[in-house]
Amino acid sequence: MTGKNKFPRIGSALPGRPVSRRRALKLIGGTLAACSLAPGVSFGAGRTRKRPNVLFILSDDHRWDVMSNMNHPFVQTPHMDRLAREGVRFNNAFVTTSLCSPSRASFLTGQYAHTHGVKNNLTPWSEANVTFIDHFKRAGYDTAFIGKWHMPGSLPELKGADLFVTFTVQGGQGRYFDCPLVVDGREEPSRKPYITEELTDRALEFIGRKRENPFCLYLSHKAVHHQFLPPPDLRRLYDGADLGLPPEADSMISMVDGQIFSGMVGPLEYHYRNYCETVTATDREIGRVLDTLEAMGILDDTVVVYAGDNGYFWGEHRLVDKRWAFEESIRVPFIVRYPALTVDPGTPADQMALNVDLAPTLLDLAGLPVPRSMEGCSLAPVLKDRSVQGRDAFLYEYFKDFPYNVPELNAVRTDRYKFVRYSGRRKHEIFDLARDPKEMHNLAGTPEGDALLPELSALMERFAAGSGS
Amino acid sequence: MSAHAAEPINAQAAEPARQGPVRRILVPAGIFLAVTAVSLLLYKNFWQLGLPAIQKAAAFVFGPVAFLAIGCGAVIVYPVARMRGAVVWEACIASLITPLAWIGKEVMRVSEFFSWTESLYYALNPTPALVVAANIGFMGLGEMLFRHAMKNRGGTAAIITPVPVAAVAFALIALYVIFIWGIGVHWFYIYQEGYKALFH
Repeated sequence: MTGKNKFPRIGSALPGRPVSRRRALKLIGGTLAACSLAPGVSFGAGRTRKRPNVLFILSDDHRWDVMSNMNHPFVQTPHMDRLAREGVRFNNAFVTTSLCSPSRASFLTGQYAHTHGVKNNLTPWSEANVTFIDHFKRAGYDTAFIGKWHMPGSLPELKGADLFVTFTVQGGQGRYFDCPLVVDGREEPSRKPYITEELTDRALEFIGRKRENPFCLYLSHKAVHHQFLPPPDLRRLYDGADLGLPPEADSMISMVDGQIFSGMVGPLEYHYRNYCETVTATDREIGRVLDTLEAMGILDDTVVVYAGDNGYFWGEHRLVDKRWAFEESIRVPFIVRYPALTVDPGTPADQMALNVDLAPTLLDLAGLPVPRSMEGCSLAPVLKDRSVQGRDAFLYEYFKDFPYNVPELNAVRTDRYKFVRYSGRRKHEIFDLARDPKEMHNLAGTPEGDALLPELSALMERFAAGSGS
Repeated sequence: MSAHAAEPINAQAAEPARQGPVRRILVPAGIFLAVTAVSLLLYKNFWQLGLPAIQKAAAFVFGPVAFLAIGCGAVIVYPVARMRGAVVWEACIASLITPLAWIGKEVMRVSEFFSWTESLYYALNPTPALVVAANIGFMGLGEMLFRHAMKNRGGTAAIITPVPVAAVAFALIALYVIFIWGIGVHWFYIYQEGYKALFH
């Protein structure tokens, strides 16, 4: 693996074809070009069809594989499964920063953290940021933001939202039970004890309003974030389950090496079981929303997207929490249901989808122009054709968030390789995701890694200077 | 404390004979430091041996041993040092060697990605703070255990006096403020505010 023509391929899953520097640059160019199609180019049909309603449901810390439609060994998520069966599940969905506040800001703005400025849980949201909710409001939609805001700084005005329901307790994390709400700036008690049910009730009230305009609803759950508390009737649901935690894990890893900041005191198994039960509780509330939309006869006129804001480690690499660039941390569930424009519903997509793609996708599906300030790509073409060219690589970034024990880092993830460059003294890492999907064998410093390094470094520099994907 | 029975006792004063500094300070501290180091090493790396059948059990042994040695070691190190003739301040130093060594290791570890000043501030985070506070409490408890042992050997000093009781009370208050109050969230936010004030 020393000559140019023996370089492993960087940007494609097809085995065996070597990639040269020229080929790598072509791939980079192709990646950028693929994204440049999105701004201002409508997939379509939105302009000639009735404008769809838009419902985005975001959960917190829900990793991509804890759903029954991902063949999880015991967790049941029938309503997420329904979304996947009737829509398109993106098998390769990622966040560009695996941390609540930056990722949420990326979903809202279609921008990377280095652009929207919410780099970690300490840097505040800027009122200058424009959300997709603002765009829908300007297009005549009835709009609402309901649920977890949780970005540093005081609550924003969020002028684009007709209704803004959120919470500020516990630093904006909220509480699972009896969480006081802030409704359009006024404090109100929770009417239901369990937060996911309360937020769903508020969402259903908004959906049920008499209106002439379509609606755009951002429903952002606290669940399934730590402390992973399911409602009483689902507690112990998975008590007998074989959890199947990774071999490198043990019961105490959430309390060592600074991982205690994840908040998990006690056995890992206890928390994981609660987490899975909380996922099922969230799924049940998603079902309530879908059932209501169906009963109102507007389900198929509504773009429904379900996603998680970042992944989560449950012992892999002896880690808990998120933040790192490993797959468990950066992969998220991302499912789009919109039958009006979906061909072959139920067939999943393998193209890479990012959190920054949400805003352009929603605007595109609604037939609205996608601002060039958005750094993501519309995924709408993928709904129609699962073989359409997707991106080959993207930039992942994590900014220091003291005292969490994760170095600031940049990573490039292609569909074959991952290159991670840390700040500080930690050495860079290269993983071959095809041969080593669990990322246990760092190629850095090996002949193969040395051969890959120039190409991957160039890709990272290119991304860092540009749109990031 | 069965080992103490073999220690020479100054019968006249009902005080243990003062042994050399190695035996009265370094040996009890060093044993706990070694236990901690070995336990941590095994706890963190046992899984790499590829023995899944016993990996969980090994972690279940070595993890708690390390945890107890770091967080509660003073309850043994302190009275052992005293039984070997260490005065109070010497026993305190012996008791704090393991927790401070662990905190130093943590500072070194995080200095890989935090600045040195941030890494030093890291040493004040809730976990090391609780470790130090807990060991102060266990020193108080250890002093009372030591006095109890001396009393059994004819000593006349009171077992419960304000200073060791205050040490125990301090640890309990710290436990509440750092760990129990708001399930640790409030103190953590205070710590983070301190970080913002110092470094932003």
